[in-house]
Amino acid sequence: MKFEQPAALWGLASLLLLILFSLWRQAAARVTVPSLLLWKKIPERNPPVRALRRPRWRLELLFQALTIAAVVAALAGPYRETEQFAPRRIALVFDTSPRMQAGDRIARMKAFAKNIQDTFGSADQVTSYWWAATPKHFPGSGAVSGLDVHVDLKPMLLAASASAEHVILFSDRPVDGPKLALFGAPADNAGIVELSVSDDEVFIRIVNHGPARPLPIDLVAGDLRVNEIVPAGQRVWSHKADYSKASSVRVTLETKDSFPLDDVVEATKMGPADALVTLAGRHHEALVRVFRSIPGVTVQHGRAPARVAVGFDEEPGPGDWQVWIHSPGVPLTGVPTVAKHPLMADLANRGGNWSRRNSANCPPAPAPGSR
Amino acid sequence: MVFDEGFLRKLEALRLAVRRSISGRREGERLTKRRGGSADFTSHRSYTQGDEFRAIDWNLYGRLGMLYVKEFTREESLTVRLAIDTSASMAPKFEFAQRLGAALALVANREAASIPLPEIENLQLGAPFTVPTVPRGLAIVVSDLWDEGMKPQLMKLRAETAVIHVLSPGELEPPLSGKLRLVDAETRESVVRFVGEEERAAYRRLLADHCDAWKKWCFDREMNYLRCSSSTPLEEIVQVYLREAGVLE
Repeated sequence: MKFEQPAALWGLASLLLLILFSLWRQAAARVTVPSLLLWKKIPERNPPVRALRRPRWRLELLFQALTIAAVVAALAGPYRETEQFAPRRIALVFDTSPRMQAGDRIARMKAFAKNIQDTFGSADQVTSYWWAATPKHFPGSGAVSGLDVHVDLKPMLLAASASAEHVILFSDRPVDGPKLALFGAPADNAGIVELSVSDDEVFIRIVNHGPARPLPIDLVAGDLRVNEIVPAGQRVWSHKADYSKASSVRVTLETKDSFPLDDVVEATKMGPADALVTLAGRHHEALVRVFRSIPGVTVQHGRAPARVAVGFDEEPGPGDWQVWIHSPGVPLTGVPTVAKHPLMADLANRGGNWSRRNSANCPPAPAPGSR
Repeated sequence: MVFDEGFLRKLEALRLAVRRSISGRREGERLTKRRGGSADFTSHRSYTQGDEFRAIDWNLYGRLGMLYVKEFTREESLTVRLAIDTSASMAPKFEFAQRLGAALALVANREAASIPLPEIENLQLGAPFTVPTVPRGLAIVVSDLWDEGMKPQLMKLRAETAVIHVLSPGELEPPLSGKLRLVDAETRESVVRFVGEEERAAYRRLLADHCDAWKKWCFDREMNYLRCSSSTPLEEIVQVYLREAGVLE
């Protein structure tokens, strides 16, 4: 056993003082005698020194000594050295959203997780969290696989934080709360993590995981094109102009790094909320009324190419029903496309709300009839 | 209170020793020198003025020509009063005092004295104690004599008195040492003393003086005095010490 403050052990010397003090100030033991007649005639005297050689141990003295010893021990901070780590509770949170399927990030994420787990102690409790299409038992992080649906990390991080002291997040996007490094990005990665566009200003927030360096930036908004260089170390960039006429704003960070996923961001002005809803299969009058009550929605029966489909791929039976919601003005080419959307066409007239879309991460439009 | 049979037989052979003439009013088994109505003639003595004429032995006067009066013995009952100190200071030797008192009561009761044994047995330690008034007969006081206030009470006794001074081994040789708060068992008064060998020797010396003072005080007033330890066997006290002290014979 060692002590953080060995000097505090000198406080044990006060035990000696306590004992000496108690010897000199021994409380008289109470003894009942038949009569004091003779004892009163015997003069009182101070105890001789030799009488103090044998201390009369009392419970009070014992408690005082124990109290002093406990205080001194607490001040000294005893500890025991060991080669083993204290058991830790660690949670690994994997982002299995479709974005992580780009490249070999899932495989790299799993390999990196395995390397981390190899450094854990045998007594550490490791729990893995990731979204799965169906509930099932997973033996470990090796079973992590990507999904085709959006993954909300916050519930997983909340659950992980509740069950572990240490949370390690494997993701390519920042999340409030845990400290994380952008996974999948090499050490020299720089990218755009926030884009905000209004009628008169474009604002971006830049993250640079590599060395500080000037970053060329390219902005395209309709006919307007801006090329500037963000100084080294600067984390934000903005540009003021009239963007009210632009249907979309695209900002490109020309970093030429090995992770281009976060180098391009684009915002598209929302158009009017017109949509064509095609229903097939069993007819639900209430459903038809619901769709028709939405402004800009046209309801028709039959089958049609769908932007969003709810139903089955197979031919619907008499009890099945299918709903396709699509915009007739959007060409469905099957390749990533950002086009003027009718739903966004009139957005400027309705207050200029803009949405952010990472064009490189845009999933392909589903083929008609696909899930 | 139980005595074995052998001890009871030894008690039967004992009787109270009374030095003075007994002045009990009732007639009993004990003979006194007082002239009385008994038919037991003892002696003649010369007539003195004031003697009754009927006591004159006229036959002797006819032969000798001198006046003599006859003397007869009178049997009187013995009045015995036993007082056992019940003060709190008697705690370590109270049972011994009760047994000693019971033994003396058994001896006394054989001589027509009536000391009820249950009274001795039911004595309560800690009850206030005063020496009872005994106008005549024999008074036996068993006490530790720590109360100097007993002296005036003993002096008021007109009866023949025997004082049995009982001390416990702890009083004779106090097993005390170190710094002590000594508390009086009766008054709860306390004093603080360091007790070492020096103090124990002083105590022994003071105790001896205390006992000698009581002994002298009793002898000066024609009282029997006996000091005994409560650790001494009762049989030895009764058979030896009380006989040597003249309390029993």
